[in-house]
Amino acid sequence: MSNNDQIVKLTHALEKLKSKDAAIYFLTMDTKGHAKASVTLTYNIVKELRENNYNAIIMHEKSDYHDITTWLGDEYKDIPHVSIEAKQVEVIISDLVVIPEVFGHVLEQTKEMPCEKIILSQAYDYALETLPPGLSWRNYGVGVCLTTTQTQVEYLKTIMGNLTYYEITPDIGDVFKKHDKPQPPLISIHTRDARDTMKIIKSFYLKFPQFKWITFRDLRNLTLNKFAEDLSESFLSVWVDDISGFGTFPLESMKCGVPVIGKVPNLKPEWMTEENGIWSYEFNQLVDILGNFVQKWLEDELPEELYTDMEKTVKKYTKENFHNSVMSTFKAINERKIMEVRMNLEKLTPVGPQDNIEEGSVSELFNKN
Amino acid sequence: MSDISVIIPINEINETIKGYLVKCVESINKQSVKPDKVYVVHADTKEVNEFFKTWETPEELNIEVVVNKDKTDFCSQVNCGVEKVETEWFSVLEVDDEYAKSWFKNTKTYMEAYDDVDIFLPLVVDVDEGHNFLGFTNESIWAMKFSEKMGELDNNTLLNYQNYQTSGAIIKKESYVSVGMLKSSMRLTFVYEFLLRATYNDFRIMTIPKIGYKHMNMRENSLFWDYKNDPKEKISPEEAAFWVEQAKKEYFFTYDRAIEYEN
Repeated sequence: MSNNDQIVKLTHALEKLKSKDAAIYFLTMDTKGHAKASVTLTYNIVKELRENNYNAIIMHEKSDYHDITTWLGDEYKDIPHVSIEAKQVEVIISDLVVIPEVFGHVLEQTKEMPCEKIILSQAYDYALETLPPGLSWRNYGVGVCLTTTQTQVEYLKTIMGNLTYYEITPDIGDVFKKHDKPQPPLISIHTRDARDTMKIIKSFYLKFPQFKWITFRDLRNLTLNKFAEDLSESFLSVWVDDISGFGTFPLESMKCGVPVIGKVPNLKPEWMTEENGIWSYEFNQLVDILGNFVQKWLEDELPEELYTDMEKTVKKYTKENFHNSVMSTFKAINERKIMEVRMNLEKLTPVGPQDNIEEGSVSELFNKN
Repeated sequence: MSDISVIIPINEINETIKGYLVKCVESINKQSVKPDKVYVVHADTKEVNEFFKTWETPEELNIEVVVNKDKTDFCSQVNCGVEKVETEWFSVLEVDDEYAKSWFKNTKTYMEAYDDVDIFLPLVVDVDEGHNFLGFTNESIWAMKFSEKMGELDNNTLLNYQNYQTSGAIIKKESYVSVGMLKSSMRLTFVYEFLLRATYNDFRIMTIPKIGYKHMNMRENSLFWDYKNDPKEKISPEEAAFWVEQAKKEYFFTYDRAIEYEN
């Protein structure tokens, strides 16, 4: 490629970055019509970026990607989607591809893409899943990782220190709200492994046969609205997810005013305190804790502080904080990319890039040079 | 205040009952939301009349002692109390039972949330005379797919399951009176018959899923203990079946009709 060709490309890229026109592709998994917290967050980031004039786009592998509005709602219907299989993706140097850590295998395939790739790590536990031993994201040209908590940042730094990390604070949506009537004797349960759900329910009924009339609801495979409705209708929720990175479910539960009994994950969430839920390190203790809690709920003996601490905890995860974290992250990335393109242009042009480049055409630039 | 009155029917008096009476009144006094009035309706017998002439009532409660003239049965004592009630709601507290301390407070919450309910049943904890836990009553309608609407009692469910407890329940007086109150001529199954009649008349009956009432089961010399053990009052399995069937026939009638079991 000639020097002039490179200048044209870089100048074009600079224009796109400055006008926020550069595409930001979010590689997203197909949930086949089922609600999934990690995918919800991806769509929320894309929506937030688009509402702030960034050109964020959902990118998916297969052409038969399931419509997410069926479970996520109509407010996401205008988000553009492109399919890799249908060859709808054409990236240029100014573009950005955001790859979830679970799609690590894609890094090898996209190694030669002429754009920057960054990682979105919502579940730190999958970070190494698809990487060959001894290799890090850095080996695939990735220099940036977005994640959802400071504890995940700290952990990921211990294994892949040579990356820049940004923390995006998810917001717990307004669809999660308190039930308008006193809660019936329903317990919502959410475990990563479906076997754990059955283990808890069955042993609960065996240990506490007097509570056989209390119903458990497994909140799997529901639309977001139904999920939120069922959750808020419960007087208690149970959460088991050893490899949780953020802990969306307990926070959603707290926002609904539903106390949580949960197993402390391997990486303790930063919002978790002794006061805002009933947490145990032992899976086998959960059922006894559950029996004790049910008895106290029936007797109206639960401390009011539990409910006020839940409210306090979830207050941090607002739309405003989410907006601020997304904007500051992508503003920083965009500014850094602008700087990099400028530096490259400087290397190619004797007098460096022109500051008024966004107003003039590329040919004008050449004439000036 | 709560717009609720409490009726305590008393049939006999002895040292044990006196002890129970102190505890049951105490359980009213402990409520954070107090009832407007308590009616102690007692049987018209010499011993009972003597006791209540000198009975000292707690100052915090507005208690009225009522003599159920010439009658001694539970149903007529309750009905006699209901006729006195001036509040929208009433509740029957058996002398050997107790309310849970947040029962009236919880009822108030549910009344605000469900304004068309006629009877709020409590989750009853059944205990023996040693106060050991035996089980719950009224809880089953919260079980998945048990009744037509989760948490509510309906006529079809009652035709299959009879064991529900109205003592401790918060009942709308107007509704109760409109369907004819308890029927004295029903033995054994008077509560069952009343619930059948209430649901037949489209009452909305809901169990508040909170422990509201501690019921002593089969206390010696209690009405149901007598049905099982007293040679004079004892009810045979055949007679028990008769009263269950009779309840299913009588609930179509609003007012009490004389019924006799003939062996």
